[in-house]
Parts: sequence; C-alpha cells; structure tokens
Amino acid sequence: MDYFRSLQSFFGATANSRPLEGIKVVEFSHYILGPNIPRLLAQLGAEVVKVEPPPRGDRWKYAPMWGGKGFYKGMRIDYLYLNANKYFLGLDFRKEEGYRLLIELVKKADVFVENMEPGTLDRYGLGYLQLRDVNPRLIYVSASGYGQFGPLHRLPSYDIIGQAESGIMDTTGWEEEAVDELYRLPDYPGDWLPSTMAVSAVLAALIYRERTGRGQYIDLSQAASLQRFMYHFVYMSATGRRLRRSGFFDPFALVSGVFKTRDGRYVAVAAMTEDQVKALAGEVEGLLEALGDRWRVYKSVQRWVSGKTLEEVLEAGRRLKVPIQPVMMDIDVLRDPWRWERGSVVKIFDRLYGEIVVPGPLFKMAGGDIGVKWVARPVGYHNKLVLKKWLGYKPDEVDELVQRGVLGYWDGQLGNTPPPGWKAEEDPVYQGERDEV
Amino acid sequence: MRELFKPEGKPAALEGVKVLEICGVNFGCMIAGSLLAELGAEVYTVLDERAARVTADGVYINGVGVPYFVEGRGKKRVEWRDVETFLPHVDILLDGLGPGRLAARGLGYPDVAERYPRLIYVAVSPFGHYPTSKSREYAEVPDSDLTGQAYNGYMAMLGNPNLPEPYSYPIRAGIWLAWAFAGAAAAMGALSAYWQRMKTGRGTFVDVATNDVLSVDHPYQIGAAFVLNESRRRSPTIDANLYVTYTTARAKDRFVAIASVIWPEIEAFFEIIGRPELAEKWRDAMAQVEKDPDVIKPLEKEVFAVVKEIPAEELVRRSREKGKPPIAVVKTLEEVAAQEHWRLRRAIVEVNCGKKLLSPGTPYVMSETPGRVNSPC
Repeated sequence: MDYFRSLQSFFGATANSRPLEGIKVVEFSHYILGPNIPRLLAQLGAEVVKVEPPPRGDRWKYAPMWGGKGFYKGMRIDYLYLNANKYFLGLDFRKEEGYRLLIELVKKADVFVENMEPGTLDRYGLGYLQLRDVNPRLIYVSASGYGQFGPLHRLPSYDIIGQAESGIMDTTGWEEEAVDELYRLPDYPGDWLPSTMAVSAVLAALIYRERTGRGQYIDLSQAASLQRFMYHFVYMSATGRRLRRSGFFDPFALVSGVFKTRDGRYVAVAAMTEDQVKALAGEVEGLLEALGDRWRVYKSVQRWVSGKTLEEVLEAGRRLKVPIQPVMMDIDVLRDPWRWERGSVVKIFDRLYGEIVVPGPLFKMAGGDIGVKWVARPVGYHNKLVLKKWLGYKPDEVDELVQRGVLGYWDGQLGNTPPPGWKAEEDPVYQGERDEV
Repeated sequence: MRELFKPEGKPAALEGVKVLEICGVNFGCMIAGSLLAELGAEVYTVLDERAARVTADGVYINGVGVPYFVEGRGKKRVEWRDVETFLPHVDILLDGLGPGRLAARGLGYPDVAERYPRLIYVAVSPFGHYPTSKSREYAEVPDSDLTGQAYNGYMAMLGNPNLPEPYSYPIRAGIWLAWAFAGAAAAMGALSAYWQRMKTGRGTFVDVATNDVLSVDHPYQIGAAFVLNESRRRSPTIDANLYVTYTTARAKDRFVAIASVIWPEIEAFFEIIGRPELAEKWRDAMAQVEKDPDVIKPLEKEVFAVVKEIPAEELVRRSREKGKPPIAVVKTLEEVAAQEHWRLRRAIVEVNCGKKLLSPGTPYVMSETPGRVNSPC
C-alpha cells in the first residue's frame, strides 16, 4: 500500500488525545520568552493560568505593532497567538490576600513559569526556594537573559541583548571586503527558540517527577540556548580562525546561496553532500571547477538560476534531489496551499473574536487534538472560572475579592480589552458558568 | 544558586529512555537526538557517513566535520543490520530520511506501529510525512537548513536591501536556525508522546516539517500577513514589527544592541543619546506611519548619526545608570568564548580531544537532573 495512504489512517483516527491533559501550569511572565513556554504546554493540553497584576499585566500587549495596524479587534495579533489556550487571572499578588491566593494556586500546580529579572520574585516571596516549601513537587522555570547565576546574571535582557551576548549576531551579516555589517536576527528568535527548548526540559522534569515524586528548578538562559547551536566555537578553537559572518551562504554546505531567478524571485539553494553537488553539476556549468571558492561557486550557480524562472529552478531541485526552495514573503506563507493542507495555518472560530487565522501546532501528532482552541483574553477575564475550577470559589466570593482590590480586570486600553460589542452579562465563560471549550 | 545547580553526582531526567536515530544528513533530526541525550536519554545512531563529512572549509576533528562533532556527542553507533533486533528495545525512533525511506526497508510507522505499539516514532523532513501534495512531491528531496529558513519566510526579513547586489539579497541567520527549531520541536514532540505513553501505554507518530516549524512557532509571518494583508518590509535597523529602536547600531567604535520596546524605554534611549526632543518627533512619526511608511526614515538617519558619535561602552554605561533601556556591546565570537560566565554555566565547554577545543555545552541547567554534556571524543 502507498506509504502516504497507510499513514492517513493514523492521522485520520479520532483526534482526541491531548498529551498534557491534567497538567496545571501557573504562568507569571511577560513579553515573549516566558509566555511561550506555557503557550506550547497549553497547545499540548495543559491547563495554564496566566497571572497578571490588574489592570495592565503583561506589558507586551501594549507595545506598538506595525504602526497601530497590528491589532485585531482591539488586541495585538501576536499577543493573541502567544497567549492562546490560557486562562487569565487578574491578581494583585502584592496584597497579602492576593499573595495567599496565589500560594493556594501554586499548591495545585505542576509547573510555574516566570521571566522577571533574576531575584525579583524572591523579593515577593515567590522565588523557587520559597515555593518549593509550599509545593515540593513543583517544577519551577525561570527564564532570563543570562540565567540565575554567574557574574552577569543580574543584567536585564531582551531577545536582542541575548543575541548580542551570545555571539550569534557576530555570525549574521556580511564580513567581506565590500560589505562589513552585522544584524540582529529578526522576529526575536532569542525568545522563541530558547522557550521552545525549555519545554523539553519541563517535560523531562515531569517524567522524572513521575518516577521520583521530586520537583525541581529549571534555569533557562536565552543567550546560552542560542550558543547551543554555535558550532563556530569548535571551528575557531580547532583552526585558530573565526568562521566569517555567513551572509546568504551556509558555511557547512558545499554549494549554497540565495539567487535571483529570471522572473525576479529569490531562491535558496543548498547542496550539503557530494552526491547533491554532483547532481547539480550536471546542469551548472563550471561548478566542480569552482568548488572551494564560495564566490566562484556562487557565480556559476547564479548564471544557471538567472536563466530560469522560479518554477523551472524548483523543478530542477526536485529532479536532481537537491534542496532548492523559494524565499517566501509573509503573504506567501499565509497563502501557501501546502500550509493550509497540513494545518500549519488554520482558521478557527473563537468565541470572542469570531473567525481568526492562527498558526497551527509545532508538529502533527497522530490521534492528537493539539493546537489553538481559543486566543488570548484581556486581564482577569477568567477570574471567576479559574477560582471556581481550581479553588471552588463562588461568583459572589470572587466579586468580593474584586471589591477589595485583590482581583481586577483589564483597563480597556487598546491591547487590553474585549472585542467591540462584547457584553459581560451574555458571556457564560466570563461569568464562570462554563469553560472555553 | 550556583550550589543548587551543581551537576556533580546527580541523576539525569531521562535515564532509561532509549532513542534510536536514523537521521541521514538531516541535522534537525540529529539535534533532536542530541537534546534528548543532554536530558539523559541513551541515544543510538545509525550513522550516515555523509553527515559526518559535512563541515566548513574542510575542517575535520577526529575524522568528523564540525557539526557532527557536536551533534554526534555521546551517541552510540548501531549498524543497519542490527536495527531490526534493536527496535523492540527502543522507546523513541527518530527518522530524518524523508517520507517512505524507512518504509521501503519495512520500518515505516505503519509497519512498526503494529509490531511495537509502544514505540514513539518522530519524523523530521522538509514538508512532513503527513500526507499532502508537497510531502509527496518532495519525498525524495533531502532537507537543508538554508531552504528551511527560506521557506519559513525568515530570510525575507533579514539583511540590508539598500546594499549593492547580491549583498542586498535576503540572508540567513548565522546558525542553523530552521534545523534548531525543527530539532527542538521534535524533542518536545517526542517527550510529550513519551509522557502520554506513561499514562496510556501507547506510542504514537509525531511529524515535524522543517519548512513550517519556524513560522508556526513564532507568529509574525502568518500574523502580519493576516492583519496587514501584505508582507512586511525588510529593515536591517528599525525593528520591522515595533518600528522602534530595537536594533543593532554602529556606535563610535563598534556595534551595540539597543533594546527599547515600550515607551518609557524609548524615551530613555533618546535621553541617553542626548536628544530627548526626538522622542516626541518619533511618537508623531509613528502616528503617521500607517499612511506614510517612510516617515520614520529621516528620523532614523538622524538617530543613527548621533549614536555613531558615542563610544559603545559609554552607551552601555549611560543605560545602566539610567536603568533603561538595556543596551549591550555586540560581542565578537572571540569575546564570548573568553567569558567566564558561559563557562561557569557550561554553556560553552572545553573538551580535550588530543587538543583542547571549545564546544557548545548544554542549555539545560536543572537543579535535580542537570543536563549532560557528553564528550565528543
């Protein structure tokens, strides 16, 4: 039977398993580095409560985006994605009663994620050592630029600082006679990549806890996570030379680069092995003679590419079995039929925001019901639901906590407000009467 | 804290977990195996000699290329002929060969799922094994990081479009970013499936596509196109999302990284460079940017001209004195390698392979089950 057809039956089976169902997570984080960890855990079925001091909470929701065009029905689009599948609790932990409430939540939690500047949460009685006493089974994650110890650990960070300190910027850009520039890597990979790697540490810690009953502390440094992929250190110490900033060349490929086709499209070519080079050389004149000199190689491939349309180059890649793909623009990514077919881009119906296009999960899992169920909510939206589900509070008890300023809600500013037309009295989830899904 | 995280004498989280990787020349797949190994799994590999030959400038260490020197660490060799007998003992099988390749040997998921229902099968390939038009069309085309960065829409946002050709073309992140994301996603998929198996006793199939993983993990390609209905413009300096000075800049003597994101940080930045009046101008420009995308350009030019007159360390000093925004000197590889901080954290380690070499360590700093840095030699 055809391989793909036989696989279909596994993916076509009833998709209802959510691997992390039953795992409870308290998120105490902001911007991207911290929140992406619970986002990915929630994608896999964990129940995540994002705790924010009302009314503003996580400041990332207010950051300017695309000159004001980045908001979708009042909330920033990347914030809606980054905080999907979470429950929002507006809690002032600086008040004694708020602190006690948070501790009660922590007692029920499996995982706690924070990314404040190192030492900040210790001052509020929410550091690892303090919460370990409350819940020894807790897996506590601190995410920061430099980590929780070492001479630099007190310094503040963002993705770009992690990039600068890790050395990764010194690998990115041009280092040629004609051009000597370096750039930050766009779209904050110093946040997204380390946080994705951290999820494996959390899962490993859960597996270990299942065997031993012991929780633990995970200390994530964004710069160290980026350094994990910098083979440059090996090269440098082995040769005594630095590996130049790579421009559009993959320094580990035999033939590589970004080229312009006859119809003006950019295309990436990367032959990693000798058999791929040999296949390419059948079509690219002078390729074998040029090997070892990356600009000579580049010029020979450019001559070949510039005589072809993008479609013709891609066809050659498939025929020759050489990796060749277009440099996609944003709009190409969104409209790519393959992504819709695979489920990497999906349209969901969110109870509050209606039809909305969202990124799919990081991987497909046979029989797994993973991915985005609902997008972010403003501060405190799930106050009643969370306290009912986790601690058995009644709605009027929650209202009393609101009156005492222990709990609170959003400020109604752009970035922190329900969509236009939303009515509290008509929303059973807001009232704590039913769950999101 | 340092005491708490001391690695000596502690167990590993994934002790007893057996992984078999058959990755071919797919380093996304190998990275997944390595991350699992760093968390304590016992990883076996069917080596493709071509992967060991991948390197830069012909540099080999103990017979293997630089990437394999790192990603082959602590992995035990298994020969093809022994795979069948080994498979019953495996918890996680990592397949980087491309859809249908292992099936041709009777080892595809449909074959092994029946024989070993507890097996977790994780595939990493350019377009995935999940049946789609492209997974079929590209089934025989190998994976590469560069094409992954391109197809994810990442390269389109990187580089300086104002340079002469071809320097103006999209460029790559200086590391294997698409393969790093693919490896991280595959490790995460493997462990979530393992956790599920602890509850249900059943294995499953996890499918990672290098060509989509970056653009589903970080949401900008999809999100920008969805709300803007167009592609963003590539900008080497002003951040293409925030339109603020979240950027690298050439200071008087070297590059700095400036991290102003929210308004108080932006204001502080203009004070630091001695031009507080530019804050208001910038705010006005941002209000107009929707109608005129080039409105920031003259201001941008002015700001960078000012920064170019100030020594890098002086900018850092002023930002620390003011408390915001974070500013750092962009470190060279040589400076990073020499920093005590990363050695202490085992993020960069020294290994003795006949010659003392530096190598990436592990980012997994955990109090009970510290990440392992296996020796490559």
